[in-house]
Amino acid sequence: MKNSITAQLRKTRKISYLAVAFVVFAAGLPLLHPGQAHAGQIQYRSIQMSDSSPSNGTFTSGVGSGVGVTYKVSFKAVTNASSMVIDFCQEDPIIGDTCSAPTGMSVTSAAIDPTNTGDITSSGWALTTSNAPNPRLKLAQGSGNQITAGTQENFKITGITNPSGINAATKGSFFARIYTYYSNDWKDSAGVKTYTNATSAANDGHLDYGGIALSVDSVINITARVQETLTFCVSGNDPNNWTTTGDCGDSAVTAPINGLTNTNLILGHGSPTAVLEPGIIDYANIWTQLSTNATNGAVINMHTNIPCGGLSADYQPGPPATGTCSIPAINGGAATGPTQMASGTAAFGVAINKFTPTTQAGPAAVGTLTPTTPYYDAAHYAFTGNVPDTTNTYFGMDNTTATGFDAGRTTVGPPFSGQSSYNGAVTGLFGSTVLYATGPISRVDARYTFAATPSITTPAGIYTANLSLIATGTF
Amino acid sequence: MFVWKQTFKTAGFLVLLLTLVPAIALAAQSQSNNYQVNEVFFGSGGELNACSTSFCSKQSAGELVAGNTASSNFQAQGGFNTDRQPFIEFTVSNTNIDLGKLSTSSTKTATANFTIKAYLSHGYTIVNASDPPVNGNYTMQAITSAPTASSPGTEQFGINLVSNTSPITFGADKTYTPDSTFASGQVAPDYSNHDMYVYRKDDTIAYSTASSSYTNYTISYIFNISSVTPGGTYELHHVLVATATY
Repeated sequence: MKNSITAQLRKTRKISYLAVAFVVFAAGLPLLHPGQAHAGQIQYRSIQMSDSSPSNGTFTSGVGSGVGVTYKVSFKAVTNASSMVIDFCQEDPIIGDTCSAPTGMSVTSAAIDPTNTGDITSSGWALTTSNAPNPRLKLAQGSGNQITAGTQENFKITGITNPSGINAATKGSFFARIYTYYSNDWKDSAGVKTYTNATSAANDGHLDYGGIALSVDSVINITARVQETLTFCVSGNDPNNWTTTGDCGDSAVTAPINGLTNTNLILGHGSPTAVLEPGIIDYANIWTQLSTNATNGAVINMHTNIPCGGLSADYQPGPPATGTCSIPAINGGAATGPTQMASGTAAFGVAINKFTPTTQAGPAAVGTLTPTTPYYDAAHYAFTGNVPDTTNTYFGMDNTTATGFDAGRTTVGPPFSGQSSYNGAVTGLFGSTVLYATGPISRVDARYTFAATPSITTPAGIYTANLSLIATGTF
Repeated sequence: MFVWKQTFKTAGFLVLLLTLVPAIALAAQSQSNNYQVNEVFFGSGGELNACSTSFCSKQSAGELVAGNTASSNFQAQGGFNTDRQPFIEFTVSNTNIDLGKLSTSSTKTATANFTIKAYLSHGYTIVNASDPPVNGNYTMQAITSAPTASSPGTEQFGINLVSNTSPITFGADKTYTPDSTFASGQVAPDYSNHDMYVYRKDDTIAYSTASSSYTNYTISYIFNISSVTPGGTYELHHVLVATATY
């Protein structure tokens, strides 16, 4: 009896071994199928978008619009291949599943990026596109290299329009399905099976396959405002003496000089009353400081009330305006550039340049002001401190250039940037441009040196002119 | 004869038993044609698609492990309710912010949030795709070198993804949902310094190196202007691009 039981157990064990062997064999059968052994899942696969915004947003171009987006496709194939398809689907990345178009997505303007290097280039591969029944990119090898097994392929497709909304079900996700093929016309090695559409792709003879998830998402919009600023001041005090704040808020800016408003300049010499004298050039300085955050810079214009641009002893504004101009603008009010002020010839002019104090308080200046041609000649601008060498410092007073705000312009805007050639007449409606900046500036000083001399025939009198300096920013 | 029958019954039972086991696993997960077996389970029960006419559910019982495990080259999802579908979920909140008027004497700050989950992936990256704030043709100066502290009076735009105490207390460190067992997102090194800010277009600001559940990030923005920062309205349309590698 014992021997009989032992024999039965042995038989049972043998049959069990056979059963196990059968199951293992049966389970391994599919792996031996010749049609499937080479297919695989592409690895390290991704699609990076240059813009993940939905395409129905506020913006119609550029980053944030979801339009004209570049998709960078990356993957490592298992098998060499000569064509591929990328299907974009709303539902999922599973091969053979239903694939409907992500709403609003379009690939019909897509193209292979001409900057691509590697196997898939615009010269070596061809791209055909379709939006129906779902967005689809079909790439086929031409003169370029195959997709190489084991090589990380990277290529960019431009001109894609993202889905137009954030799908509620997938929370903005949409999917790509990539398949590769043996031939360059999306067929298997036998030339029998071929790609038809996404839902039948599971049995279309493709080589490798991979699914990718992508996502569109909201743009973070942040708005901030920088208030437009322009601060401009005129002072008869040297900015070296602006020792408190060093800017237009410094008390020295408006501090009287000899009990008088410091912007009331007196040209002359002698005491107790300063006078002009033939053969002698008298001068006086004023300074300005300009700060502005105007994007396109600013100009400083000078406007006089004396019609000749010079000094008058009997001017009456009228109307009608009357008076003589016995000390006229230098060089006949020409705009050609500063000229030497000759002894014995009555003239009134000004030399203007940016000014850099050595001891001004507060932060340093940022940016620069550039003097215009009629008022500054680098070769003839000679100072010792604030004292001009009147022989080598030339003066100007433009009273001939066409007047008016738009003088000298042939096009609209940018109105001031780089407009060094614009110089309206000092008697024009908006005066003559004497300095300009092409961008924002801060705490930039300038010095204006007014000079005058009479001739021996200049009538006696008190000669005056009211000059207004006007700063204008273009934001 | 009896012995032979008994032996046959025993063998038949073993065959049936051995063939039933893979049938359970493949019923829900096997992939036709390619014969993929992406998921197997060991445990007393579970079903991914238990459906009535109206509802479906995922069920599990006797689950031994759950979550992601990975080496440098491979990874696996543990647990019965794993999904075979690669997935990325990326949501951005607090997407419209008005900072009002900027000042040369103080810093304006703002925060925005985003959350990402990437499943069956080798990780993800979040990339800055936008230029710094723009005012017409002018682009605000961003901190593009090393992360830098806020400096009022100096034109600066920068961000980080951590909590801060300077120039004010704002921002937050990343958090995980449900916890770090399931989520593994990280802040890129240049954007992980408290009270230090930087902004470079095309920088990766956050990432994970494996499948990850929800990581919740807070972006902290700073805006500083100088006396020559051009006046006008500055707009930042901050586009974040999430890319997962599968």
